[in-house]
Amino acid sequence: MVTSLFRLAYQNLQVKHLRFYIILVSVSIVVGALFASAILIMGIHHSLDKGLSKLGADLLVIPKESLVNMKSALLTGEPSAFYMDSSVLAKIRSLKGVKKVSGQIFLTSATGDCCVMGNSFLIGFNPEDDFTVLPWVEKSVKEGFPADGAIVGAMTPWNLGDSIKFYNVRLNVWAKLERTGIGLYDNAVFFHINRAYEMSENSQTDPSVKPLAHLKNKISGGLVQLAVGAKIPYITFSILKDNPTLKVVTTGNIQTSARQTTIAVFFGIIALIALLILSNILMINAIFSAVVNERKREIGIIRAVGAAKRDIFKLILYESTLISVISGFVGMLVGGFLLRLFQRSIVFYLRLLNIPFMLPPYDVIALMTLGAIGVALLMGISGSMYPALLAVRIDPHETMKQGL
Amino acid sequence: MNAFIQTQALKKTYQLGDQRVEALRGIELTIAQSDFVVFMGHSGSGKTTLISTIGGLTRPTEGSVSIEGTDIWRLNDRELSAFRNRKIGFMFQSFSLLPSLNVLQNVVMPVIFRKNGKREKTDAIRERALSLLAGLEMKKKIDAHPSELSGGEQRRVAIARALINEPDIILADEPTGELDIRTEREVIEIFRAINSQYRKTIIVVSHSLSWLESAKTVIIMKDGLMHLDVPDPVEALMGRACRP
Ligand SMILES: Nc1ncnc2c1ncn2[C@@H]1O[C@H](COP(=O)(O)OP(=O)(O)OP(=O)(O)O)[C@@H](O)[C@H]1O
Ligand SMILES: [Mg+2]
Repeated sequence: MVTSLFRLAYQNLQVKHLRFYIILVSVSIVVGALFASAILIMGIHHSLDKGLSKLGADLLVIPKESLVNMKSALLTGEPSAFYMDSSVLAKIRSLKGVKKVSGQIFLTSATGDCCVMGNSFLIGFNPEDDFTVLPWVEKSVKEGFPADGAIVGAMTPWNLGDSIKFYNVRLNVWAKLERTGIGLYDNAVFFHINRAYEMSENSQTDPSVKPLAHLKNKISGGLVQLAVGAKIPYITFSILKDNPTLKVVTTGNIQTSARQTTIAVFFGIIALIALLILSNILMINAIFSAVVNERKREIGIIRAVGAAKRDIFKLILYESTLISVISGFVGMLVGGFLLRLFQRSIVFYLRLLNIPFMLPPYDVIALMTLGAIGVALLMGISGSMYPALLAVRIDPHETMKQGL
Repeated sequence: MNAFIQTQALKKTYQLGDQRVEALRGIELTIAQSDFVVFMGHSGSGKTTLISTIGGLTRPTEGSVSIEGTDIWRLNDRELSAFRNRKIGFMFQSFSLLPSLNVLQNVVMPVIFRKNGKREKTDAIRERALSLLAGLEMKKKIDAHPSELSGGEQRRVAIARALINEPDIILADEPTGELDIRTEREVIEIFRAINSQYRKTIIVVSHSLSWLESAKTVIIMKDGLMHLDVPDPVEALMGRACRP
């Protein structure tokens, strides 16, 4: 039974099919596009955050030549082929304001009899001074990292307890990391730095592989964590003064440049969507104005039987609110469904562009859902505001007159 | 005669461009409770304007309308709307039902705007609507939409709607316009029953002489003025002498 204003609004929508569908299609397209692109951008940012915060390092110290590679290495995981002396670490550690220093070494993986199959990045680290890898493995608090252990990224094909082999060095999978969306981590195999030196030695005598460089006492880079309050420019300067062949990269820089690219894209999309929202508001305005005009007599009758001006205002806004909320939901479902449908190819293309992607956490998605409904409501309400005011001004007396 | 509805120096002037139309030129009207008043008069004489100022739909330019002691044009929009909802049942000439609602929903529609604190149970409202429709021999058509009804059936639904909130006053503008003579008689009969059984005050505007025998009071409108106790309304309407 229609015994409330809201039900009356609902009933009215059921009869006026055409305008309902026009608004439904156009509002849901906008909401769907907005929702899908917001999820994409938030996903990219989320995986940047998550991946880079895992570094736990404020500075990267690397050989000058590998700078360009280093930036892309973080995102795509192409290891750099330049090395530096591990004695540098001790010097950096002694600087005031430096809290922790840890060296890592990157090897190019090879295929053949010496190694397991799979395209992975081999990273040697030193469990004694490490502060970037082990903290992400829960059991490392209680157990020490075994000398022949390996920690593998989420995208690698191996599982706990698997035995793997690189350059004839056997490793046992001791832990598997969670997904980060960053290529370097998701495809990495971490092991003791001494195993890396063994691999380099083995490669010299194995005729079936291209030999690695002589790596004894070398590292690809040093990760530096600063004490609270330490000044980054000052420390950078001190490091470079002693070692002019090095380069210091702040992790903030890497994060910023990756973000800036995606933010630029995002603002482009937002500007487009803002235009769409505006045109939708105008369209809803036009449709509702026409409807109000066509329903003049009806509105007059409702006024005569006891609707106050504010009731008429509410009636029109209820109608537009209903349409827009329904359209918002449909839009989100469609947007979400399309994302899901093309998830694989979207992630694939993002990879090609060196952009990491991971679904944002559920609370962020929930917030975006609310936001999308909010945008739909904004369009519905602001589009119908003027027609609602027109409806309020309708004179009930006119309906008493004949032939109207 | 105790005054149930009373107007004082009621004037309404419309401004059409630079032309002023004096639709009402000082109406002094007193209607007692349970009266059955029929307004007649030439087209343009101000009948619709008068009953819509009495019904709280058109604000008069001057003068006042009081119903049961309430000066209705001193109420604000919300109060006046609530007053219309509670006190007055309207009937318009034609097409006065909402096309998106079926018969039952149309009858119940005024309940939406009822403002008196306690809400009546939906079942009770439904029962009342059904018994009104049954009394008007419309029970079989409760699911029909207005476009599926004949003119006479539409009038009956409008009558049921006018009665749903149990108002004291029924205001009807041309409730039998465009009806054949038999259907017209039936509608008039319904009004008469409402007047005699429920003691509702009825005010009807019509061009049809068929109302004259049911009316307790006949008022002739002419050029924005009213003429009471006209000895021969037909004569008066033919344009011959009638004095205020
Ligand atoms: N909204 C309006 N604007 C301007 N003039 C109006 C308006 N409504 C009514 N009038 C004028 O006021 C006068 C009285 O009109 P009203 O509708 O009250 O006449 P009526 O007696 O009901 O006529 P009818 O029998 O044709 O329905 C007419 O001259 C009409 O032109
Ligand atoms: Mg009229």
